[in-house]
Amino acid sequence: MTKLLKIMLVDDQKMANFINKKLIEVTDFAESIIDYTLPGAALSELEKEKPDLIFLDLNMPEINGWSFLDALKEKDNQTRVVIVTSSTSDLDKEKAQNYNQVIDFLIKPLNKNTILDLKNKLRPAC
Amino acid sequence: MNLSSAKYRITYEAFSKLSGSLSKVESLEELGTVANRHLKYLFNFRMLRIVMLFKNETAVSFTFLKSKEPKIVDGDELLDYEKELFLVKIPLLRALNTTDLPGYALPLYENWNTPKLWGWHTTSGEREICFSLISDDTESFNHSDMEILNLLVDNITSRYFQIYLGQQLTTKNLRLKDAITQIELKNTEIEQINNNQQDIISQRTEELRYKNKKLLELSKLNAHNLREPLTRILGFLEIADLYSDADLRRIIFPKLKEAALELDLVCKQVVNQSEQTASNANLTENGYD
Repeated sequence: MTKLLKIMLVDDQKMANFINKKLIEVTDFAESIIDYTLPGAALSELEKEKPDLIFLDLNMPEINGWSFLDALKEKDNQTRVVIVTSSTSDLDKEKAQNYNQVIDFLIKPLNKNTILDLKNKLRPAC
Repeated sequence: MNLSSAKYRITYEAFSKLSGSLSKVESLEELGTVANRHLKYLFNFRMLRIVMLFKNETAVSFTFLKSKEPKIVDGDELLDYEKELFLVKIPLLRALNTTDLPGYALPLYENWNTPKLWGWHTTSGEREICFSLISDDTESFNHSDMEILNLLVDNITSRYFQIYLGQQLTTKNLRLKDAITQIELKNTEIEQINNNQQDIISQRTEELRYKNKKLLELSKLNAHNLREPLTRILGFLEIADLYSDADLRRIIFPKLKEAALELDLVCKQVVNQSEQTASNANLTENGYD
């Protein structure tokens, strides 16, 4: 299994990034991981970093997940997004379907299995 | 021309005059006055009294006393001999007793010379009529006057009922008009009530919308804020076995504690906000009651 992916983590909770990073490392999911607690900073370094996949939290101050997705659309940036949220609301899940680049909607906490499932899902594309 | 046919002709002329005048009267008072004015040209009498019963109720009594104002009484008390007449319906002719007179006629009694009481009963449709006449030696009445008396009674009672029915119609019309006004008033009231209800419904709807919004906000707060620190705790447990005991104590436990404290804080916030939402809702509800 080759590490091909570069993943960008965007979550205002430092600890959430810490956990997800560990899970990605232990499952051998990505080649490199960059993490951001400020969505604005993540957006501005997007062009430079060119990640293959973004793990995006929804509930964040100032720029929330939806605004982040709108900003991507505005930039015409097609980077694939996995929403990683603590919200169990069906409304959010429905809303996510309006964004084509959202390839999965995961509810925290993630575990090794959810990451491995995602890995399998992405393998043909890699 | 002999005397009796001359008298007959004069009487009929007098009667046709009375009849013409009666057809023009508009009120009961006028009916009494007009009849009274013409009576003396028709026959001799001391007192003439006409009582009408309509559906067994005394409708009215007319009392004409020679050279006096006529007396018209609605729903008058029947005199004893009148009660008898209505009952047996047989004409009467006898000497007059003082008890046969209404109170107001009593003082005249002593001026009369051997007064006699005549009485008759007749019907006309639903009306029963009793008419009586007092004559005496000076003002003598005889059977040849009967024809004209019958015509007179018929004329007066018919006219009376025309006026009576006209008045009834006017009264009923007035009542109807009154009823229509009442109905219109009630309709306006009902309309107002309906409008009020519409207002109350929209107020309540607004109120419910507000409460729903508050509840939705509360449920969102729960979904996001409450689960967030919990997912971190669960996440740490997920990765716990990737660490050595020492690292677990050094790296993970402090973070776990931090997340647990945050969860506690958010729990308190949620309870607070629930209580506030509930008490706000109550306040507004009381405001409407």
